[in-house]
Amino acid sequence: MFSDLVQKSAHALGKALRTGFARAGLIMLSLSLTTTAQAVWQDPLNTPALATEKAHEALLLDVIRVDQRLVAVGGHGHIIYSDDQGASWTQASVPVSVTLTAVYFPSGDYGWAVGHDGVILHSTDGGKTWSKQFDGYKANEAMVEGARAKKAKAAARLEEAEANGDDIAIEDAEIALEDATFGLEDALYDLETGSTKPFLDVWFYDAKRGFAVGAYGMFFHTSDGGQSWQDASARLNNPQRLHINAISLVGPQSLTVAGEMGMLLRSDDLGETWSVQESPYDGSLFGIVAKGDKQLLFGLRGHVYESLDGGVVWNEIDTGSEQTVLSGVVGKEHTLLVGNAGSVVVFDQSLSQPEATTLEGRKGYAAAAETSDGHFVLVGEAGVMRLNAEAELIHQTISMAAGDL
Amino acid sequence: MSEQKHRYSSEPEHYILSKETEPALERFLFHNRGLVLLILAALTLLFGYGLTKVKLDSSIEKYIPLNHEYIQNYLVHKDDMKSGVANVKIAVEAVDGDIFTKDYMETLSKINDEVFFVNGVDRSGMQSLWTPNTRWMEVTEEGFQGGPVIPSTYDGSPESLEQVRQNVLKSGQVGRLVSNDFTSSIIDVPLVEKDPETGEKLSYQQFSHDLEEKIRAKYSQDGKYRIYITGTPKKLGDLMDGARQIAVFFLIAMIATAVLLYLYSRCPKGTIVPILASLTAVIWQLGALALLGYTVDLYSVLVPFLVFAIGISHGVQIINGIAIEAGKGANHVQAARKAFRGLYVPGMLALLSDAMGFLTLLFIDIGVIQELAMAASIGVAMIIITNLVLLPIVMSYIGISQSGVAHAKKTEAAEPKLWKAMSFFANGKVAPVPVVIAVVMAIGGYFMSQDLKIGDLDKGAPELRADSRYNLDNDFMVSNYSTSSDVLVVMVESGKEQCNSYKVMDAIDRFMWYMDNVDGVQSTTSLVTVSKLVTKAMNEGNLNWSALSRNQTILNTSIQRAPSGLINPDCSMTPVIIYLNDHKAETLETAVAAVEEFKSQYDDNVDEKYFSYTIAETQEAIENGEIDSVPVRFQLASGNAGIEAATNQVIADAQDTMLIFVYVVVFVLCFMTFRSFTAVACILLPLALTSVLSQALMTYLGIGVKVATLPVIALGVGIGVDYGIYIYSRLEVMLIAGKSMQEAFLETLKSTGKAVSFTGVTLALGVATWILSPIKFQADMGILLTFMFLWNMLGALILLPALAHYLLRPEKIIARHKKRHGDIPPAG
Repeated sequence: MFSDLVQKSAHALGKALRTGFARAGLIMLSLSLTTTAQAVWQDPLNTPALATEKAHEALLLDVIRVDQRLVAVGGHGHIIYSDDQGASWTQASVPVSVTLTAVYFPSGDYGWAVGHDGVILHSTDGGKTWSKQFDGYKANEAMVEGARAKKAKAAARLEEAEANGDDIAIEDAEIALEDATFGLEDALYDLETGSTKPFLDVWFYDAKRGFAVGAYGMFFHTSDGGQSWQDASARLNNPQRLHINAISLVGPQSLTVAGEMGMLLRSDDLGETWSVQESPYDGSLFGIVAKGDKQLLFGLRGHVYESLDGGVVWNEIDTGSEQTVLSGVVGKEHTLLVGNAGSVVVFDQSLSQPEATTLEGRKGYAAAAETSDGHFVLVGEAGVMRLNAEAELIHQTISMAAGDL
Repeated sequence: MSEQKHRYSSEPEHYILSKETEPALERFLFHNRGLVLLILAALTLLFGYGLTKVKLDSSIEKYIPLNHEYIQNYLVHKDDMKSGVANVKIAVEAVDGDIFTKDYMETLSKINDEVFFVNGVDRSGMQSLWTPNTRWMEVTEEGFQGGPVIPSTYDGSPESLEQVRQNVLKSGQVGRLVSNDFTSSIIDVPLVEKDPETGEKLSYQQFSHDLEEKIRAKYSQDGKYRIYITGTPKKLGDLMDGARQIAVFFLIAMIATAVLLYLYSRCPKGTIVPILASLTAVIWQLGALALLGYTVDLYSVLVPFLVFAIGISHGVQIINGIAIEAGKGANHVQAARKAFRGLYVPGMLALLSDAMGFLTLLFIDIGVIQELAMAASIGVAMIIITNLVLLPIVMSYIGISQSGVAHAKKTEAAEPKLWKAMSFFANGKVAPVPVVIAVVMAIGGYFMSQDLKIGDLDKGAPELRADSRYNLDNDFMVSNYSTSSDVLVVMVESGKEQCNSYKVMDAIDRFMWYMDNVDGVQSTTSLVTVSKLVTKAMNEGNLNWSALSRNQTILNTSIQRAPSGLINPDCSMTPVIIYLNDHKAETLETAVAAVEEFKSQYDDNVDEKYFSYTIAETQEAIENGEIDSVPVRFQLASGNAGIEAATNQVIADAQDTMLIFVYVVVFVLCFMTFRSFTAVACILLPLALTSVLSQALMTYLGIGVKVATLPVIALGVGIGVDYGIYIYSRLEVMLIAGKSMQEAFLETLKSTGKAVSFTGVTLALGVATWILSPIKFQADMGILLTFMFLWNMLGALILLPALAHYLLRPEKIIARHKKRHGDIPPAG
């Protein structure tokens, strides 16, 4: 009987020793495996966004409502959508992992998202899946081309002016040529550096015609649904190539872009020709919202201006907040301007009676959208936040699923 | 005693010393008693001198597995990341109201000034609301605007307090220097490495005392404010204070042992001499280690307890032997010699098995455990001399008192009912009971121990108790500030001056988001966080710019003012700091596995040399096609969680190995002694049951397998085997004498049962005092060792005879004895 016992314990000991050796072997094996594994760094422009269930808690920079659906974009190539007024979100399939700054759906299924490194993404299924149409490398090439054309045009103008002997025209043309030369040099430098410039906003008139605007005066146009994008910056009077922060429709045919150093331009022919507007402010403007005849223009350090005559005369209004306003949304009942450090300014139906509040957490908000049931969804540095129609915080857990990537 | 009885055998076979050497050794020692005493006295003086050199060591290196890959990686960059390690945070809380009151600001200012002058503070790096380096900043049309949070115009008026409140909000310090609810604020105090007054390593204990006296006691006495202090130096200071209390526990253990010893021997001499002998062993052990250059740490400070208790348990056997021989009429010298003769070999064997058991701890590659093994082994070796040699020689001079002799006689003659009852465990009718119970317990214990966890399970500083001052302070910090005390740091290496190149930064950015998505990760921060934040700030605070730029000039600008700890001097390494929910083993494993997984995808496994390349050399290598781009690799690990992850891995790997080795060692020793598998099974099976049950106990008490509890297994088994050896060797003698199993066991109990139970209680008493220690792991060790010592004793007294009933064949034992030794009876 006990010899059995001895045998068994000897067996157990042997087994234990063998497991020990096997484990040691396994460790050695895994070590050798890790040293032979091949690792490749991929450009984020070619790296699909990581599957995540936390995008709704991370940096989001824009949100839009498309029929019943909300679509939001943000850091790390995140695009998420919600079909239940923002209570739960699903991650869309995105082929890049760069920071996305803006999203726009002219209607229904067709949408565009833009972001850093000059990326433009396109969706034809209401925001569930996205494909890349354009990126900073293409943008740089297009811009070099555009800059060359601009320089050639300026040179031609100078020649013409010299031929005419018009001194003032010669001086103007010389300045224009100088600007164009610098522009080309910068474009060539950017081409060398890589895709460095972010798009900051996107707007489409229909499924074909649209604009993508961004840093350093980037202004691209498409008329074939984004299959090809042209550098259209020559249409704007922006010789210093200031950042263009926003593009939006403020009347049936009236497009506005707002940007650095009080830049305010308007087009009444859907972007073909642009005229400089008298700006009430010389700091950065981040956007404009309109309802009826009334428009609100907003920018740095809480500066908000109202206009009742389509943007000819602007009057500064005191909102009670000194925080930078980054975006706004016109709702059925209320209009909201959102911005840094948790600031939200609530206007009434007629865009008057501003009331400033600070949302708890003091996180910055980059955009807002009204849901189909009249609530609001805000997005910003801490992800999604929900407000009710009275712009009060809805304390409810927001959930997220990774989606089918 | 007649001279005829000189003829004896040392059977059962003890092969460690042949029987011929015994009398020779005995003759030598007892014929030169004076000389031996003189030599031992000289040694005691020498080691006593060594005692003055004993130093309490607070270096952290000994507590971590220095040879583990993670730690090796950490050591490479240790100096670059030292800011943050030696750092203390002092929170000042307003009990009523918030911090924006005149009185609070005044008090904070006073505390700030007082801390400034505490010895060891790195004054230039201090930060609080009152230091000029705490600034607010905002973007205006003209660019940045900023200033100190407390403006120079501050005068305590409501207006200026409102100004401070606005500045605090703009400074982004909410959650860092100011609590989320504005009721407290922090003074962040970096420490210098060397004491500026003495030039020696800064004493954290002194620093900790300074803070307690000059800050906590002084400013919290009127009840208006509460002070909370956290940080590694404070923790180490508290631990050192805790270690001092060990002296009190030792005193308690010694007094309790003396009382027990007197009750046992009823002889003042027989009480004092073993205690003095055991103390001598302690002095020798501490002195010898100090002379060998070892320092005492929080683990080896416990060794004197073990040495003392083991010394007493062997001393008591000698005293018992002497009393019995004296009772038979032997004079002082004869009694001492006889006792020496009878106990020398089993004593040696037991002590050797203890020492060997301890030495198996050397397999664990952690400094404190190895030094614990050394200290305990040396201590046990010292006991061989002090309690097996010094003790009988001293007793041969002073002899045992009459009361002791009478008591020993009475005990020998008595036949206690308890022993009588217990002898039935060796009887066929009762034996199944303990065996069945043991099997049930073993199975139950086994299933329960399946949930045994690796690592520290409590939150906060696991070295200290959950309700200790330090951990309460830590709780306060964690719940009121946006910080976690569990930090895993991954060191990202690149070529020189390339840690901020776009590719490296992008890889870090991806890594951080990857880790943010891992369960148990709260948040991550790194140079990339700084770069994005500054890039955003440089673009008017517009959130759209929170991204890495591909333009190197912009990247460079964005990290110009990055904290020094986030970038090493030649920009070849930048750490990623990962905040974890807790430091449970699963959390650590998940996080570390995720890092490894990411590493396997993104780490450039290029030759080491490329990591020391300059920008130009890297460019050349890229052009030559040797490498694709700037090399980058993610190195685990630093931070308390990183070090703990490494420790857990070492422990998980070592625990089975060590358990196997310690059992192999006791198996071999027992087998060499008794030359019988069944004997070994009788001795080891109760031990194995204790091992299983102690794991179940650990699960039940929520104690994980960690640096502190791993040695317990070796100590428990190594020392626990003594009982079995004593009981079994007696039992065998009685069986050879022809007694039945039950009779033999009764005789065994009568002669050694009392000594064995006394030993068990003494040992348990010695370690039980640790349970009172403010240091959590010492308390854990105390609980487990107390359990193991007592349970092993019960196992030897109850399970061993029952197993013997089933496993032993007395006729075989007798036959084997006869074959070797004829009819010479074994020594007994």
